[in-house]
Amino acid sequence: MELRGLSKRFGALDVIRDVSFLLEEGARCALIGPNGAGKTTLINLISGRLAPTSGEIRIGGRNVTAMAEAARVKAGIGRTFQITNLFRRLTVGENVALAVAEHAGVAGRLRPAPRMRARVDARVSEVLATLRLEDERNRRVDVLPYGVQRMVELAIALALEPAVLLLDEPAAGVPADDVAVIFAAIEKLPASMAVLLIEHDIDIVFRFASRVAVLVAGRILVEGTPAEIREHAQVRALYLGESGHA
Amino acid sequence: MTATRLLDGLVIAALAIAPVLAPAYLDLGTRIVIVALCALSLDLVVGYCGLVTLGHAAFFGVGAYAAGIFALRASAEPLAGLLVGGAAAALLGVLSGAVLLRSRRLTLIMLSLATVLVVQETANKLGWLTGGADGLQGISMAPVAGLFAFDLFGRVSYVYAAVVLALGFLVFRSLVDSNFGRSLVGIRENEARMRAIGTPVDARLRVAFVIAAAMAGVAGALQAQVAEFVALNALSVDFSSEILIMLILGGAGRRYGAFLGAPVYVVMQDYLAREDPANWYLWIGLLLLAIVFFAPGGLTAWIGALAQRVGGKRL
Amino acid sequence: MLELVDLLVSLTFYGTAYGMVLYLLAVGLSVTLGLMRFINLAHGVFAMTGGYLTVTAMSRLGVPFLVAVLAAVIVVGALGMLLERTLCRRLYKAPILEQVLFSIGLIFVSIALARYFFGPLAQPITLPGWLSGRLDVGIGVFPTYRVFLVGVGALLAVAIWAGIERTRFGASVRAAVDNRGMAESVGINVDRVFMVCFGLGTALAALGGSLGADLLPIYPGYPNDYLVYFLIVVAVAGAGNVGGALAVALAFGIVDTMIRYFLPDFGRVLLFVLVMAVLYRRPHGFAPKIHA
Repeated sequence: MELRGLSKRFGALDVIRDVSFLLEEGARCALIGPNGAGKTTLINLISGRLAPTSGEIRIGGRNVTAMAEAARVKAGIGRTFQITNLFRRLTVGENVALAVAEHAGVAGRLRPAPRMRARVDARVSEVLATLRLEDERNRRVDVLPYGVQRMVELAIALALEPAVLLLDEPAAGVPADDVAVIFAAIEKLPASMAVLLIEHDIDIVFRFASRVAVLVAGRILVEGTPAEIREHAQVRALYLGESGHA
Repeated sequence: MTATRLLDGLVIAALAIAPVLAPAYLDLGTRIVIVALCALSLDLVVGYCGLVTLGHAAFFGVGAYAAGIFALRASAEPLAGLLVGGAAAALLGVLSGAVLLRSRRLTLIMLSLATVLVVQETANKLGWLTGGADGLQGISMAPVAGLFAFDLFGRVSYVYAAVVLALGFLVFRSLVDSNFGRSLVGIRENEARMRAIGTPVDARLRVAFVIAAAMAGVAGALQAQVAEFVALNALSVDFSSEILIMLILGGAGRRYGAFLGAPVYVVMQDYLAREDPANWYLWIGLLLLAIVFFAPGGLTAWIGALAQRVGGKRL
Repeated sequence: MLELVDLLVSLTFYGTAYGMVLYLLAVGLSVTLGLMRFINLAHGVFAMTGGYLTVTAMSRLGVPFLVAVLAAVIVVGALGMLLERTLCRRLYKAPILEQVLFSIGLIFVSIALARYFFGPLAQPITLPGWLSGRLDVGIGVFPTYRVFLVGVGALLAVAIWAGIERTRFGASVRAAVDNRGMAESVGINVDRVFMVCFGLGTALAALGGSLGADLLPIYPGYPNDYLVYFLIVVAVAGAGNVGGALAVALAFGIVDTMIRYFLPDFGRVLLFVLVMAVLYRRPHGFAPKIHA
């Protein structure tokens, strides 16, 4: 995925300024930055939720800037939401099934087909297994604890088998046990998948990322390996502070 | 899953048995069947897509007029008339859907109202074609499939309408149980998330809308053929509201809502029209308020909850 | 040629008076929609009630016109606040379908009551002496009543603007629209803001209904028949767009009046198709936030 000169302005406010960025196949990149830097806005621009004021977004060389959100998903983008955005009255299985069916291109079929249904269900089982959610399959999302909901959030994105996966603080506010499950699943992601992770917890960033980009006030301040970033004076002053947590 | 199949079968069985149980009420039964088909089509839009519209009468009315005019001027063969009615309504569904489905909530409701009013005005003004305010008269239908002539007792009418409803239910069932139907529910529950998983939301909704329109049009065509008359108020906002109320009474988005709501509403209306016509609006208004605050899922939800308590099983 | 200009000016004026009535009817609905996201299709009920109260006060109690209108506005405003507090509030988080059904139920009950107490025919309204007759306003001579409508409408538009932009209450309303949670944590009693706004909205509807009784006759079918018109104003202007509501209401009033004159046969159809065309281009109306 490549971003070229991406900018977003709301009224008089420049939220994203001239961001250019390259995410290679198989990348494991973390996006960090202080609150309000525009990280979620950037994700929204990439996924198509927001239209940029200027700039380009390319997936696999294809210019997707003019494409609507749904079309970009078909082009290979998958994302999770910082604020859990699930189908609350549906069960976990149904949530994931929607994504599986959509990805398989069979979601528009007008007649029930039991064999295809079985294939979808099998794939749902696979996805749920990676996040140890099989037991929750038939439970409604709105009765689940927050940590489990965040896992369902990730499951939906995984079901899309995207080429580029955007994770918006997947483990924020989640109990430690569930965090471990979430990151175990992230570690097992296909090597060809490019992953951009927004995260505040520095330990996670260092464990997961081979590259880190720092977004401050809508601009990319610096990019580099985790070690380089840790040593970078400005970043230390601005962001890492004393405790190493944001 | 098998509970659903059983209930589906029960619905069809009820349609078949009704005339045997209440032979004196065939006309009422036919009316119930026709509005149930219309309510079923509305369930697709309101219950499964989650789009509230007050314009469904436009499709019913267009279907009725198309079938009626077809019978008067082209051919009085009923089955062809059904196709014509369905197609005309589907066309309106395509045209109005293109505008309506770009908005939601209040704007969608307003546009749906505008659609009914536009169609109603047009029908009113094109008196030479539609009979205007007097309605479309003088229709005389040929025997169904060349074999079953409409009789004075309304037997053929009932069976004809009931078969069409049964077929309509099979189509509805198929849609609702398919991946398409599931994705409609997804759109209803969280449209934004559906876009984020790559669903072409607008296209899906348009397809559902057109199918629902066609089904309502077929219901309208049935009405025109069975009554051999089309009244202008088939195209009224009042009628749209009635269908919506019937659906809510039964429960929207719960598969059987139309089949529970239509008979209860029509029977209630029939009874009150005879006993206490002046206060019809009062009773219905109070009923609606009661449903909203005490039983928003309608009869289906209420019966379902009852069954759960009795049987301890999920429906 | 001069006659055509005279005609157009005349139609524009009549359209403006009509538009002012629509504005009064629609503005409360726009605020309710923008603020509470509550779809109240029964808004016309409050206008109708205001109209009935005014007419009854005048004909049965001999109360002068303006006093009757004022009384009706106050009563309906109070009723609105009561309704909000007891029933509407419970539906803010409910799905649209329930809100719509609630509205329909309310409309039906009020139609039944109106028919029971007042019969099915339109209420005759006898305008006071000082409103009958004609007035020269420079650009032409028009019925005093219409001039009055234009004047009152303009005054209220300014008052509403001032209320929203210049008062503390208006600031709380704007804050609550933007971010309810934040507004509450700054100490704004959002529940009370909602209640008062709803009441003001219904009071304005009652004002529109009473003042406009000569243009839009008061009869049991009122909430149904005129619903689509103020829905159009709210939808095209955009929920919560109060200033836009004025512009759209006036535009609609003028266009409708012109169409009725020049194309009486297919006028209404054309008008609706026009509205659909506008909304096709801009499905969300012209601005989504409350600002004057």
